[in-house]
Amino acid sequence: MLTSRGWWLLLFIIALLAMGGVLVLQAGGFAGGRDSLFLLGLVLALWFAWEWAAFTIRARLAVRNLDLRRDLRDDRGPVKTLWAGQTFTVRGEVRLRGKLSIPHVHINDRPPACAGPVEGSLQFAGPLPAGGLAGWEFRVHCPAPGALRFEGARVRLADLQGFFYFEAFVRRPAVLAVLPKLVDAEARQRATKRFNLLPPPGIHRLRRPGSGSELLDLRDYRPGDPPKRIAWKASARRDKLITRELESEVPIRCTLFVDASDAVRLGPPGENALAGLTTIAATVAQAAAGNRDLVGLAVCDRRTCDYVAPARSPSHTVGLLRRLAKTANLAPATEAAAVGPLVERAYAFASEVYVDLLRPALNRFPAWLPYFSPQPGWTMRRPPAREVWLRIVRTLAWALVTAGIVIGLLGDDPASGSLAGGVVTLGALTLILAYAVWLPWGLLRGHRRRYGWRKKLAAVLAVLYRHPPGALALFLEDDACFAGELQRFLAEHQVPYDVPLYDGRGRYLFARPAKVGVIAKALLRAISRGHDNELYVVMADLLEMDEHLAPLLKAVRVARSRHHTVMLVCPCPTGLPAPSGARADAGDTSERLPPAGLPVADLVRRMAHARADRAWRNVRRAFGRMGVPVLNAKAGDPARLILHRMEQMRAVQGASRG
Amino acid sequence: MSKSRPTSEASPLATAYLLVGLASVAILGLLLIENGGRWGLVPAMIGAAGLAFHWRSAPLIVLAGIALGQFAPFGPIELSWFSVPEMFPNRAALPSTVASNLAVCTATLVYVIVQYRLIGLSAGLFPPERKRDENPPRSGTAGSAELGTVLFTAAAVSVGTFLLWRLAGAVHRPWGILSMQWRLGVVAWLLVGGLAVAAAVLGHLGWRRLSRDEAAVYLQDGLWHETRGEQRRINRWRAWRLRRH
Repeated sequence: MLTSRGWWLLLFIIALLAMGGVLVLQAGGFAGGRDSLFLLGLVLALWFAWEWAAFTIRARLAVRNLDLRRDLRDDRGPVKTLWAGQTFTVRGEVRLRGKLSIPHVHINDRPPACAGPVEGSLQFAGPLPAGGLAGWEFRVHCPAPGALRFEGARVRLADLQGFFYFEAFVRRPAVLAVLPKLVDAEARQRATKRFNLLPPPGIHRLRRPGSGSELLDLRDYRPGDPPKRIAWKASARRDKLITRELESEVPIRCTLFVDASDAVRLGPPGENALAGLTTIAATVAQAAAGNRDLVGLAVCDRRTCDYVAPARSPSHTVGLLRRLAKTANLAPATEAAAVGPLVERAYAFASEVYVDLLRPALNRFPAWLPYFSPQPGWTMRRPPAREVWLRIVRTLAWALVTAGIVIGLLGDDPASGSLAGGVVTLGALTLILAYAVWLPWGLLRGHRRRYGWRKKLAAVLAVLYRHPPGALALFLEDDACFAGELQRFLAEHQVPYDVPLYDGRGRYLFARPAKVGVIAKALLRAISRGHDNELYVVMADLLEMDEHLAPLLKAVRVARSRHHTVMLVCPCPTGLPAPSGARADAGDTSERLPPAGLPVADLVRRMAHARADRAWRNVRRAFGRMGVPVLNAKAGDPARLILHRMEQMRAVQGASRG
Repeated sequence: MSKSRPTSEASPLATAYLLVGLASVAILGLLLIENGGRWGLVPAMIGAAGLAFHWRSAPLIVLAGIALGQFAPFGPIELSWFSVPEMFPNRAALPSTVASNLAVCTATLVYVIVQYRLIGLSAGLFPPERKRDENPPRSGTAGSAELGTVLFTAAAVSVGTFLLWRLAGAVHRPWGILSMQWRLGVVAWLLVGGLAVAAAVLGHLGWRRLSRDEAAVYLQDGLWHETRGEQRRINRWRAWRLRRH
């Protein structure tokens, strides 16, 4: 709590008191002016103590009386829902309740991590009287669908001289969904060749009356016709009752299957494959709702599927957009992630936002613990080099000692006795060397500090997520469990972190083949509930999963056998150019041998591109056999193509009904 | 709604502080020169320069200068290099009368407060942060009321200290302890005891106002400290088994 300025003054005050005390003790029974220095030190000490007491009261009591409020608005007024691509104004204000005032406070609002550039002031600095209000205002841009999480405001207190310092965080977490952009149905549909589909032979389109909204014909009134259908102007002209006949509507039912597994979550938020898939899904959902079509949604990951049956009400569409925004906010996670980097990232965040839970008074860590009881290497997935060194050299040392003993026991000549003694001595020296290197290695490395951070974070996470009391000790020893909790914590607070893509044996960690079965199951479920010929759009990353596609291909075959339409939208790998069908048809141009002397980076990129091209062709071939078009999520305009397919289905259904 | 206002060095409050600080330094210098000779000029000049140029170490040097002027003639150690009669006549720098002594203490305290406040107004109150590249926030002001409070506090603390010192001398001395030593002991015990009581009361208030999460962390931490060995053993075996299978 004391700043360096305060420590220096305190040191001088103590020195003054000590020197003055010496003079007073020398004086004995009569002062004679020798108590002046002590009195000066005492004056300064009492004033310093007074300042400390006043500051401590404010730090412990007044800070808890701070009340943070946040108000979001756009040009038209307050808003509760954010939209991607728009800019909003955030007004923050802190009110100090109670009777205590704060002489100087610095409040710094923490902008959402996923927000775009922030304009305006994020902070307030100055005195805050009792009942006073401190405010600031800034503008925040929402670049992509997902969610914005506001954590709260960082509060720093100081006395007027800068001797004392206290930091706290007023937490008012608020997660606001950022919905995808609103688009109208017309704007997203193809303007030319809208009905360029010939009905199958023998089927002719015949308009028939129904309950739609477009006028089909006028006819004479028949008893029983609803009065609201009477065309009053035409009736007046002809002097008899005329009834309007309306066109029959042909709504199309469309179900979107969005892959939300870890495979599509990789990459920066808002720029990964999942963001692209959710944007396409949101566009299709809004445009289809504008056409009075029914849209359903199934968000699938590797374990579960969140299914929403097709409907067309406005509340249903908003619900779909909220689900998509929530899905776009998901972050990748793997149990194979290393704990060390995650601990550093999480502690840096927690030391700002959860500073109150990390205080040593509440969350202690014995400094001796890493020395006397460090985490053993045999519980770690990847033991550090220090542990590996100790294990190898210690094994060697014991082997030498054992060999020496065996030689000494079995040998019957004097030479073998001296040899045994030499080997045992060598083994002992090796053992001493092993620990002589191991001990200072541990002192120099930063693992002790990280172990303390890990313990403090374990306590915080155990409380935040309401784990049972033994969770703290479990998190200290179980790397996989703690890595999972740390990723959950970081993802929940939208703190970016790195995840390993491959395990120690070079296997890709995010293929997630189990999702194929989940999507297939969801597709079969939707087929079993289908009413008419429907459109199923599977948006999933299926590249390089040829041997796992069987369940999905089977489900697609069932859908096609029932005359449903299936489309597949597949994202291509990030950072690679989009695979093109023309190049694929031209005959593996990307798989030609690279020119000699190509730099390694270009070579790797070329190979990755060739591999992605090959995987793309395999997916197209597998689904193309069943008449399922495969669209690239990043090239062209898949949303428009999906809507166009719906228009084709509408035309066919209208004709078949006629 | 109040807004953030960066305070410049030439703000009216800073000027007022500067004037008060210069006045206190002048009083301090006059009293020190009157009692201790020319050496008294040194702390006063350093203090004035510190006020003018916002030297961060000026208050500490002033205090060290005053202590040196007092300690050199009376101290237990003979400082041969310090015997300059023109600068240090053989008498203390600090006055012996109560009124003068009170004035010196009050002026010194006012100077220290003013000097650090001016540093806070110009350089900021918060310690610099290495991880952040933002400028340290400068102090806003509460207006002229702040200066009045500071002067009142300084005067009250000085008078209170002298009263305490006087009252400590009035306490009955047992066992024939010398009066100054007894007085020193009483004040030291009062100071330490008062600080201990204040820390205990403030700490108790802080405990009473813990949030739910803070209390849960404390309890969880207490449980872990009590059963650390057993839990560690169990969980290590568990982690080893999970890692193997």
